[in-house]
Amino acid sequence: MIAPKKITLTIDGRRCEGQEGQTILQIAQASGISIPTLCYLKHLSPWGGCRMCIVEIVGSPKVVPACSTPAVDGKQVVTNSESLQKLRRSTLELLFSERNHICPFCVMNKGDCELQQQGYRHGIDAISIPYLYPAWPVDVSGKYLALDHNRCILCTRCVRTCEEMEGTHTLDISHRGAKNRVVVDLGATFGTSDTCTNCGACVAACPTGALFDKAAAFRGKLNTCQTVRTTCTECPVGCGLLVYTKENRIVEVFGDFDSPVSQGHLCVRGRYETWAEPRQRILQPLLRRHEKLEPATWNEALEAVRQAAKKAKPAQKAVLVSPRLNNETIATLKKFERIGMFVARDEAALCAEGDRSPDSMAKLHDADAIIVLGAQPSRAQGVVAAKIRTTVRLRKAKLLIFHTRKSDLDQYATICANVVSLERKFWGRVAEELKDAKRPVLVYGPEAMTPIGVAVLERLIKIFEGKASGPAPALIALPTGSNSLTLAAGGIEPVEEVGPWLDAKPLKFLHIIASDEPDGGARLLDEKYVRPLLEEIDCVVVQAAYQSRLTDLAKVVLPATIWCEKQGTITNFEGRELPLQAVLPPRGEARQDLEILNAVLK
Amino acid sequence: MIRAHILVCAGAGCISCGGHALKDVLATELKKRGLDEEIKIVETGCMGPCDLGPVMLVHPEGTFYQRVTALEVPRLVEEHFIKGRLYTKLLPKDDVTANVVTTQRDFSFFAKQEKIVLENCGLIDSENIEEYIARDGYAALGKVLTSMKPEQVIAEIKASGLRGRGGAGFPTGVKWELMAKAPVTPKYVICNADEGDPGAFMNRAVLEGDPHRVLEGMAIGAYAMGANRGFIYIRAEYPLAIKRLNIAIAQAYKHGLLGKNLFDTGYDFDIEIRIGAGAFVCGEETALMRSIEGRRGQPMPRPPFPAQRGLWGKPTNINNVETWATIKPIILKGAKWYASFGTEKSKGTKVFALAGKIRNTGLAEVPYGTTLREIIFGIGGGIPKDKKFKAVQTGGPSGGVIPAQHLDERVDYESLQKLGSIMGSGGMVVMDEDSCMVDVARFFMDFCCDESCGKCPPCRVGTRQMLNLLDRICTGEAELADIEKLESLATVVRDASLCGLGQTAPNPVLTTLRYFRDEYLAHVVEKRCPARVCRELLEFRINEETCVGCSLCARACPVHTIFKRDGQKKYYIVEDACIQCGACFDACRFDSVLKTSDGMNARSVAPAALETSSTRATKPVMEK
Repeated sequence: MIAPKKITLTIDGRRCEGQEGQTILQIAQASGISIPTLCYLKHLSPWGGCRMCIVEIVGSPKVVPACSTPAVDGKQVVTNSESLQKLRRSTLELLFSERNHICPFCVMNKGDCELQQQGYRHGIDAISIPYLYPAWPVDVSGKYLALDHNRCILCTRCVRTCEEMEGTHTLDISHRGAKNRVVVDLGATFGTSDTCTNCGACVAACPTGALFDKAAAFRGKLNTCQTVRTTCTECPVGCGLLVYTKENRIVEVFGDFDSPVSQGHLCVRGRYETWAEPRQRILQPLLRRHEKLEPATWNEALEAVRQAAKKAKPAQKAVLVSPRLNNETIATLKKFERIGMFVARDEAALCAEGDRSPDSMAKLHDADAIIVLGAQPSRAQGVVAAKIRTTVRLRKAKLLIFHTRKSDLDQYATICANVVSLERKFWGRVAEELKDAKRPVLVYGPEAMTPIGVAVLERLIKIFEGKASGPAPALIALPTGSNSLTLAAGGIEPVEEVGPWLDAKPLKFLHIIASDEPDGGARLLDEKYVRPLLEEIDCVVVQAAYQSRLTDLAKVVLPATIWCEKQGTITNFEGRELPLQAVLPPRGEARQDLEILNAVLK
Repeated sequence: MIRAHILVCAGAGCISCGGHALKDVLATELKKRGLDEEIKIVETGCMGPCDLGPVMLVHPEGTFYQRVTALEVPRLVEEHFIKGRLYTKLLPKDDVTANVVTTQRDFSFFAKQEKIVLENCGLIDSENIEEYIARDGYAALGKVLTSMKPEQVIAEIKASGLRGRGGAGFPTGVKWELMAKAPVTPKYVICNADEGDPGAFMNRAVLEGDPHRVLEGMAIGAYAMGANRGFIYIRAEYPLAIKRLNIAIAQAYKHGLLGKNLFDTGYDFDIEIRIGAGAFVCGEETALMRSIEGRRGQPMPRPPFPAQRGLWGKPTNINNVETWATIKPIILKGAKWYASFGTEKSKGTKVFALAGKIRNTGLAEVPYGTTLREIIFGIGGGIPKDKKFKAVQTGGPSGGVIPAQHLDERVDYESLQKLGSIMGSGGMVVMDEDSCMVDVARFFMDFCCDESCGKCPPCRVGTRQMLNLLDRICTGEAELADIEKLESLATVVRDASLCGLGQTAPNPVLTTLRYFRDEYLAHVVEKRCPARVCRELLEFRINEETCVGCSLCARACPVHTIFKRDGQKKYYIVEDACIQCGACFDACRFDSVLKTSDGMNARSVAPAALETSSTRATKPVMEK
């Protein structure tokens, strides 16, 4: 690869170095020169529509937008002449006059709004043209997302984000000219959209209060908050989070643009469901006295646990943990004789044997053929689904899907098979589609480990081995449990069917660590016979953050910390170790999982 | 043995006044008279003088018949083809020489034109490739593919001085050279057939009347630039042109003049049609490309230019229909021949669409350097009803108005620009003393505001705010400060807009302000419309001396505000309820309804109207 040529621009009299292929804005920003922008976000394709970044090039009659104009070696650029300032000011005045930008009751007021910032930066406190006062609606029909058209400046940051980061292209502009407006799907609302995944990336991208969410609205001015970077633990992707807090309260959750895994993107679970869903948090230890669960102190609770444990022989004790426990718990967990990790159906084999491919997300990004076998990333790993959508739609990769349940990815697939045919003709077609693949990726989930899934996998491997040229596909396992691959690799047995596991030998003591599972571990009870089996055990201890049907039947309930209180590390599906940094101190009497385990063992 | 040809014009203008039916009636009549074996009827493209339609040309005499209706056909056939006499009733009268025109050659409308682009229009059946081939069709392509290298083709186009006919006037040869140099493949060529300017139909005539010349031009250009695929982006509002293009393309493929291995040279070229969907902005080249890609037709900033990064990110060359249509004659007759027409910097000819207050509306192709006077009065026949010429608007909504004092200016790119207007695609709308220049500016601003794509605030909001100001001026609600505001907004829209639509939208306003500021001032200060067009500034009165009392006006009045004088056969208007609709003015046969604009309807001619932003007093500061 030839290195790009070095070029020099003179910007406002200063020599600025850059590379061929960069825009004027990129070179200016790298040299510390500030040019105002509104529609520009550096991770999105440039739009050139807001006219704020216009600059003059000596020798050219017209102004050009710095964000999209390629820098030409040797040119002289002026960024802040009087006429440019006048044009920017007038453009802002036109924007302010166009819709109802009334600050006092806006979520972005007092410093968070980029339109307001530009207004102040350009010395605007009144405008010289009439306000148009159009009547635009406010769409608050969405579960999380809301759109106030009165505050929209039509910068299309949301449209480009939805297209280039989430890949669903749910948002676009409809109509023409002064009638332009952002639309959801073909004129639906957020509440009735067929394609919106509620990932919230559009809200994060919106410079004004036009797009806002019901979780974060009016919880605090972002520019007065503290920020902490941590990792999401809802699925094995491990997206980076940038959490804003104020006075020990979460104000808003953003994606961390510095995360090498997610580059600023999140799905609805990491952005909203971890903190904006109504759940009952357990804030103190609970002991069952007289048939009822009553609050107790840690000493009382731990003492009760130790006593119960003493009464059981080692073989009559078992620990069953959530697959989202962090890495630091593994060493301690291994001290137990009977230790298991409850995983979803068909995931046991996946966790035990699943491949981890370094830089899987980058590999998906650069793939020219993606095979999805027995996985449902749209449901369980939203950011992987987003990556697949954008790679297929924008970078023109081929998509082949083999699964047993429908998903939104099917519409982009060249081959989508939900009934596996062993016909030669079908596999001939598959081989034909894959014959030119130079960077293939095979993503597989729990259903790949079923007999049918294994059969399909073998066929696919045979196709790749039979190819005259081209590499084998990168293999990427996608379980649903966020740290299950690591825990399994550390020696913790993945358990698909809890009933038989419990029934194997009679138990007198069971310690279930549900940690901050959103359902409080309740799904264990959905499996047949588990409830009666649990009721036969003398002492069931549940260590959980949220109240549920499971915690309700425990003898002892120990309050665990939740995602924003956790400290430690997890290892994601790429094999990348990611930090969990506590954003807030534990609420109530909640304690870290490892701390509780150690206390129990003492 | 065919002894005569009847060329029936099937251009859009003539079809709209019954041209198709005319052909059928003619055929029936000829058959009835037993003449159908010796007289051939050919349906051709637009002949030019659309106002005189349906028109007909009889060869070999070259007799030109105008306003031929189905009813006239039997007598015309009898007179001309059986009795061998001219059917004088349908012969046109030359407005300039005042003679009855017997042949096309003597018609000054045609005599002063130099038809290069339109050389086949009105002569051949555009749905028959063989007629095109008979007039040296595809000979240029053959010459290029078999005996010229791409560089030689580009050199020839450069030497001809041809400039893009879409409006910008960029030297075509230089544009092709830039594209030829681009190292990325595949490359594409596009024909911009969106022709959105209101009143412009030059491209339409070529596409309907001589579509093959566009295909041939594109093939030659694609070869010169290294492209193998071409697109014709044509507006949906041209269904006849689309139909004829489809026929032409199919015929060209059938004859091996499009497709694989043209002229056995191994060169492939395919053309596809892409149809627009009613957006003027999609005539802008970057918006056009996005539309072809299936995206919203919104322009992208340039640079990067299409020759560097165009359709699907690949080098693309876009030219107007007229530009592509000029390539064939340049190749066949040579660059030197072409450069012998026109002026020093503007070579060749241009097709203009004459519209508005002019006798001969239609298409006229003249060399650059012809004066406005020659075009409007020499070819156009001047202003009907002997009204006074006021201004001519050139270049459509991107252009400006040119007043009478500049009628002797030569028409070329530089001169028009100096006058504040632009050549544009060739539209020329003539205005007389009954046109209100403020209303004209408002019309074009309304168009731009409606057609703005909405991407950038200067155009999206700026044109809206300017339109609001113009509305206020036309309804008598404006003050002097509003004219200042209009001018300052015009500068912002012109300098900050992203694409040509916004950048040129203020031109009609700026030129009308430059040359007709007095009309603006009359509207604003005196609340008067000198041309008596702006409804809210009109007063209607009945001249009772000439009124005969027929009551037609009273019956036409939609608000029943015209009453009969007691005991007299005279009517009068009660002005309070009058809505200035003009129905009475139109109804009166005795010129007794007077339409005036004397400023009587002024809501306030108070000194406040004379305040400007600089004289307006500042709000007093409260003293503590």
